[in-house]
Amino acid sequence: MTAPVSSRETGIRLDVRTPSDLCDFVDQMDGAAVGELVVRGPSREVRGIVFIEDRRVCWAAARGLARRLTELLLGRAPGISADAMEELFRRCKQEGTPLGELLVARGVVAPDDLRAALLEHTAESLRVLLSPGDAEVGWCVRPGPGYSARFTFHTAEVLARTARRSMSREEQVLAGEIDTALESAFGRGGWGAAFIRGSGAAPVPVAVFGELPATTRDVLRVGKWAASALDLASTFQDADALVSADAPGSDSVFVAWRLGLDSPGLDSPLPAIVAGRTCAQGPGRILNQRANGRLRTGVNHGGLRS
Amino acid sequence: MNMDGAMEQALRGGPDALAIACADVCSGFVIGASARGEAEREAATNAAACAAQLCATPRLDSPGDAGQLDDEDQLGTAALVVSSRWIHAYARAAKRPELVVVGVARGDANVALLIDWVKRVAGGLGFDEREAKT
Repeated sequence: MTAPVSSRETGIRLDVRTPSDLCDFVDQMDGAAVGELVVRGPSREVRGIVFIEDRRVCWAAARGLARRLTELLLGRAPGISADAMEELFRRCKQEGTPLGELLVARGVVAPDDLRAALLEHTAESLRVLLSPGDAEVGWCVRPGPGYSARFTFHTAEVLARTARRSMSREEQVLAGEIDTALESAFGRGGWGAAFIRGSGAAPVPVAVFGELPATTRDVLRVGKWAASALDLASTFQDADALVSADAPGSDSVFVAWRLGLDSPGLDSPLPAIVAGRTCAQGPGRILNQRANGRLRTGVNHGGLRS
Repeated sequence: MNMDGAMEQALRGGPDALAIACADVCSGFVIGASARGEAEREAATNAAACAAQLCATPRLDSPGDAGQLDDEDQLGTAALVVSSRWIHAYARAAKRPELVVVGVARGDANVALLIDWVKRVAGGLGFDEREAKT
């Protein structure tokens, strides 16, 4: 039986106003810390809870969004009825067992689909919890065993998914397509992210892939580097140029390029920046992929010769 | 050291290279260049003027205040800017890290050969005058 939130709260009040603040806080935590960020409104009512473990976000729950997780899971589990899902949900709540892990164990939902549903639900919840900008956030230590690391999230994943939720439906679909592009560009061992430039100065990630650096701040640093390098390169190079720079003290490189995401539903292509870290051969692989893409579209191309 | 002469000599051995230039990233000056034509010389000079920023990479895993993204970048040893029309390859001189060499070739040139050549040219910089003559 889990103790009520009020009896376990540490009394520490955190300056967490945005999802980005939350990511920073989680990244700076002691790696062994397990607990909950309790989000309250101006009149001290609990709006929801964000579960944290090992500097990762397990999931976020907001008042009024409990059924939303069931909807998201049902969308990924066509073999189960809404009533059956509700029944499972109730039973898990009573027994204190994680619903998602039970669904995976029973083969109702594939692990990747559960992960996607949890991430989506967490992003939706965080927007509800933090978007008014008037939240009071406290830290609450949680005893007992933690979550399965398989279904927890790097803070950059959470930030990207949260940022994506502020995009239009068309743009969200396009951002979803970047996931596949990142995987093929960065492959095993590397990591990459797609950024858009919002109203703020720094590019914001909307998709991430691979073995991400320790903190979201590092992901943002690479996005900022990429934006600056591409802006600079555009003063003497074409807009489609790829920039790569050797990472000192390693055999890896930072790489960046622009991506225009287009769709009939958009007035103009959504300008994105792709950036990340890959092996020394990575830029060659990416250039080949880009060249092949240009060949398919009949446009002359450059790149590495084999 | 006559940097224009050194660049001219280097360009003769450059595979598919159209131009080469060397920038002193501390002073911000382009201190030598050689090219097949004037347009290419300008292209190399413009690219060399951006060498300091393009050879800098973000420093990851560094401490700092939350949300602070402006930590000092670190010096990279080489960089590439590649489009379908042009390739710019940068390499820092190991013995004089303030010097960065940039080679320019058309977009259909071999990137690997170009960067290898630029690294060799940069590797040859930094000898003092006596070493250069012998």
